[in-house]
Amino acid sequence: MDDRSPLRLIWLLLLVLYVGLLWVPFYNARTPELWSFPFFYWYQLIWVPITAALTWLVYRSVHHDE
Amino acid sequence: MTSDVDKVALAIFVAFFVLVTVMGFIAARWRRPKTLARLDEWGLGGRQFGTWITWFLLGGDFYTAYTVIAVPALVYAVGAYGFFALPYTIIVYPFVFAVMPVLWRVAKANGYVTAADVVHGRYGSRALELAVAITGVIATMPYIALQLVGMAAVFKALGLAGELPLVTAFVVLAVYTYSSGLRAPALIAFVKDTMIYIAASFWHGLWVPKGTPKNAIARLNSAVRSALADPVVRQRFADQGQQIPSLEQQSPEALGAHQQAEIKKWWPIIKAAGIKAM
Repeated sequence: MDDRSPLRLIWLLLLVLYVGLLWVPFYNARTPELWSFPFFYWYQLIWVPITAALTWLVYRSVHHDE
Repeated sequence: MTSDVDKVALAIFVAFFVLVTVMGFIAARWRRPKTLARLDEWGLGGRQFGTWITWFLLGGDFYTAYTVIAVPALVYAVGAYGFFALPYTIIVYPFVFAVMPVLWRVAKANGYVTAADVVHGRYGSRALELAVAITGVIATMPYIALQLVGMAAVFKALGLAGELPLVTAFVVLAVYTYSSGLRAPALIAFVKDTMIYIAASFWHGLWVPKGTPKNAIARLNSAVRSALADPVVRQRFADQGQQIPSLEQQSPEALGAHQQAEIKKWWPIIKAAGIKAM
């Protein structure tokens, strides 16, 4: 964790979801609907698997000492 | 909503409440420490919960009356604002992933129990320590408040009126948590996380002995149909949360088809689970 290797840049991936979710104008819309869910709702739900995948990518790059 | 007490639902609720309360008190002896009088034994379960127990504990603490009842109620009441519970949960996980391992290492190395301990150890400031501790308590309040809203809704659905059931439930919870510390919610989490997958549904039909004349069946069927079309009957069914099948589904042929479909659906599960009639 102490080395300043380029690997640490991968942590920036985690910032993506903060931008995607906290900037509401991105998804403040009714359409397009998915299975009759308004865009507002399915957009936020879709971030659950995306976040899990991003976290997994970062997790892989971390050195585990235990 | 009717004000009558739903006896079956109340019995199930009381049974689980008793189970959880007994477990809450027994938890003090789970992975028994030499003494519970040390703060890290009481507050951190002796620092010996591994990945699995922690996973259940977090699941049981996140996905509770807050998630299952209060958040949906909030969404019904205020609309899209209430949905913030979802993105909030999503953004918390990566933050926890980045910060908590560091916090955990520091706390383990120095024997800290709370976040305030860590801050005091790092910055040596009593004022900052106090600020962190107070912020922690205050920030938890809206969550606890929503838990109470959720529990109040459960009691109301059971037909229990007034504040007394809610107060009783939370006093019992406070007493066993006081006596067992973090071991109580950790042990109970196993029950909670299993129960969240339990949902019950059932259906009704009328059967007649084999060989009953066709016209008798037809008369019985038309009588049931007209009863189910009665507005008063429909209202009573709706009050109990029951759905009345559509007109096409009210025929003897449709019931037969439904029964066959249910047998096809459940029989392999019953067989695989080895369930037998008593």
